[in-house]
Amino acid sequence: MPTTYYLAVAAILFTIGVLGVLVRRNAIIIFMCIEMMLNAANLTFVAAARELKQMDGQVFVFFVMAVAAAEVAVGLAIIVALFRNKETIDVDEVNLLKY
Amino acid sequence: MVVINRHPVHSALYLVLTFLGLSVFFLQLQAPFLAAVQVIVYAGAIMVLFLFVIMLLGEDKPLQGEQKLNAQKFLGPIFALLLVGEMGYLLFRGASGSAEAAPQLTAIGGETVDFGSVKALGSTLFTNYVFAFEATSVVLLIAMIGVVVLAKKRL
Repeated sequence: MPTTYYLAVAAILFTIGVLGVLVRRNAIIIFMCIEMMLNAANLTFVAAARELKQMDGQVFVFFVMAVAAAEVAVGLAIIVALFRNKETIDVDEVNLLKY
Repeated sequence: MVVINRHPVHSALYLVLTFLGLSVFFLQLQAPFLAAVQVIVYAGAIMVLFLFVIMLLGEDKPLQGEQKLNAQKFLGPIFALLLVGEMGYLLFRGASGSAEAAPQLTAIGGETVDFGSVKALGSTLFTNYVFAFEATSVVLLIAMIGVVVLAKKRL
């Protein structure tokens, strides 16, 4: 299969992630969409690594996964703290920083 | 499916499905180690974390008031369509690039390693990228400390 197909799938996946971040207001679902975008980038990396016959892309995917795991842990802790303070995870309700 | 579902738990389960499909893609792309890591880390650890937080927050029912239409509902899909067009343009404009044969990958000892094996990945990871590997461990440690601080009772 040509690499272009994989890149197209990655592009579609990334766009779905962007759409979710833009449309939804539940903070947890926004986080899931961010994970999806990171995975689209991973797919692009692996496809490019296969295309160029270089292992560097796969090593980068490894690092992206590690950073994504750290990011999820911190983000979910922030969401839990937010829920403790405000009793909601609707991102439209979290506007204290605006004033 | 992850986006249009009102129910956070259903969204999370569809996200697991997405991750499993991506790991199949990784297998097709000669990255068996990454496929395994994808299943273990994403479909395992991260999704357990997500589901745990969803249950902990009691948000296993749809968010109240999300039926309200607002500007996001209309602007979001428009921007997403713009992004699709942009990516499609880039993809099919540059699709005719020729792929010349890349040089064979060489391991430390000089013998050639077939592409995509765990051995090749490991040798690349621990020779060229060893500093980044150590830095990743520091990042994980800092994240762990940060989570512990954030999850303390009073904030």
